[in-house]
Amino acid sequence: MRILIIEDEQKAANYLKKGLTENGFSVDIANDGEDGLHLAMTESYDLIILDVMLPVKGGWAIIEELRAAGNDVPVIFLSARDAVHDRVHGLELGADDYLVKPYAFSELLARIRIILRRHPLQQSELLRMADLELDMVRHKARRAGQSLDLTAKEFQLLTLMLRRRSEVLSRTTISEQVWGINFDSDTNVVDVAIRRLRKKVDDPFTLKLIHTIRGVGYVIDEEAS
Amino acid sequence: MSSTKKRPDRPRAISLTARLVGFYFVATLLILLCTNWFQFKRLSKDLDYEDNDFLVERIVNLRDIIARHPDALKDQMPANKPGQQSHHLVRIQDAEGRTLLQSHGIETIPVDLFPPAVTSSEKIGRGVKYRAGKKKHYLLNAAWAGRNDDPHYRLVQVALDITEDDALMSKYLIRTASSVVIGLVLAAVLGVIIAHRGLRPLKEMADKLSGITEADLHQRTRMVGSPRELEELAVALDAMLERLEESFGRLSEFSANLAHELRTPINNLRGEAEVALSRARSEDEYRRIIESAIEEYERLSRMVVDILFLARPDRSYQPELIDVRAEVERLADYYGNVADEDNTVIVIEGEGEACVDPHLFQRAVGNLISNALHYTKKFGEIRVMLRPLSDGGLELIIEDDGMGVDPAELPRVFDRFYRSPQARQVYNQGSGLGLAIVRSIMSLHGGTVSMASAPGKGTAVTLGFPPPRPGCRAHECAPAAQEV
Repeated sequence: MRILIIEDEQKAANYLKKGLTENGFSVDIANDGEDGLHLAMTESYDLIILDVMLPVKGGWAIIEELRAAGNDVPVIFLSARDAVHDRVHGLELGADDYLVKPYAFSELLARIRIILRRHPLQQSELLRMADLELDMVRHKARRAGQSLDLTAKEFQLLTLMLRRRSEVLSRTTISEQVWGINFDSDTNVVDVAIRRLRKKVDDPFTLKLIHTIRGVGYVIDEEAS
Repeated sequence: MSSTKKRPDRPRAISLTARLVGFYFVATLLILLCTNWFQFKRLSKDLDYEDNDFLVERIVNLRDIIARHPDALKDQMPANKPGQQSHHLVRIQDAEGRTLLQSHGIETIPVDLFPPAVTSSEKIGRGVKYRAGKKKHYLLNAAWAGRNDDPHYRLVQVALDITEDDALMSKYLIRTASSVVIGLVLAAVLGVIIAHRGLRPLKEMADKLSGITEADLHQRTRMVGSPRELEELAVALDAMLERLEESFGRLSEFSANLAHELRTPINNLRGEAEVALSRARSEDEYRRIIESAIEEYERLSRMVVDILFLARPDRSYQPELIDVRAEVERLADYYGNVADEDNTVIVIEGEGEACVDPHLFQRAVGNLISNALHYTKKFGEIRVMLRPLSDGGLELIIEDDGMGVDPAELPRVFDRFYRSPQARQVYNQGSGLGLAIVRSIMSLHGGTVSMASAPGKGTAVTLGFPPPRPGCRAHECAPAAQEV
């Protein structure tokens, strides 16, 4: 999977490249709009990460020219501008996503994976990981054959984590997806919810599935990261 | 901001001074013209009367003589020596029009120029003016003189030289005109002086204002002895200055607080990083340091989001009609686990709807519930009460039975970055922006927010939502937890 990063801030470009390379992508960097557009037109990428404010040629212009040339490679915008109309403008120009700085790297990774995912999320009736099973039809959770007594929200939370297994989910994502809450509370609501879920899902068993990535979020995985 | 004294360019407006002077000028012109014209007319009439009376008197006199001593008539002819006032000339004719006697000079005035003569039984009319050559002006009159039973015995024609009168009148006219002109010039000069003096307080005020920068907003424009007409303006300007001073004060306090709040996490980050680099560490230690750094970044990011929100709360404002109870239940559900940990219950009473931006509503009420959770006792109760108001609005009250707020702190709790000392002891992770955000969200919705508290007994925050505007509709797909 090849990703092109068009970003003039050297530090940002470097850590993005490092993080993405470690996650199995091959990454090219362009430091200004002109080079970026040239690379995007001549090479073939699976995804472009594009800064809005760029020297020589801005992000808006690059995506316009790309789309005008019939190139519909997926584009994720990164911007320090979080006005609603900026976001809307980016999506209208044909971007697939729009992230506001500062963003969590795990969040970017998750969105890249969603865009590049060729197959839809597991919509099966049974979600499995190790000896944990979620029966989506009966809304029942079992681990090692024992039934787990989960509340509705806990079941929803566990479903979310299993469907996006190996992805670190930020507290913001969890709040949005499970409770429909769209602001960052300074209260540790998500931490408490995860702690309670662990009590039921992990504490009675030796193999721990739910892992904390401190400062980033939570992930469900068979091996500790 | 520099305080230049340069006035901005604008279309040439007529200055107040010019206007006032113009008014003075026109008024003075009218007054002077009227009075002088009246005087002039009066004088010329008076002269006219005098001349006419003189002629009538002369005619009557001559009639008398013709009636009684016609022989003495010759002696009655005016001698008209030079330098004598009221030159007059006489001509006597008989009924057939033969001239019997005439004084020197009257031969130049034709007989038929004189007004028709009247008999002694009729009243003698007014004379007729006649302009002869050589700039000579005469007033002419005529009458029949009777003798015995013949009313048409002799025709008496008298001419009065009124050249001097006319010269006097034109001199008078010139004098009057020049006095009018001088009066007008004086009026204009005085007008300028008066207007300048009258408008001086205005200029003083302008000078004073043009010198005010943000550094001396404490100045006021009202002066002792400024005229009453300017009082209103001065009061309004002073009120504006006061408001500006207050907001500048808040702004600088806000900047100071902001700097302080930013300093703390940046200081932590820097200190930890420097200590970490001062010698080799184990992998675990590095990991812990980076984790701690990420927490600080989170704090910074949240602060930036909040500050941007406070700077422009209306950026994402999209109101719709919502079921307030359902939205509060969602929040209670969200905070339920945390409340549970402290054995606190969240109770919701009543229901209602309001026209709000759902995300902002969530944020405001979420902040208040989160505060209540931080500051309430264990085994406590948080009550959210919804009360529809008579005007169609809605009151939302969030009550806790926690530590309460010191009455002295109440006025400041909604200020940005303000955290009371007691609150810091209980929970020191807050940014101090929560209530400021609640306040700005409420004012964005045209609502109100107030806090009542009894220390040790609990706190109640009341949000007042105005009645929904007509045309405020519910969104088709309310924000709900999506299945992933």
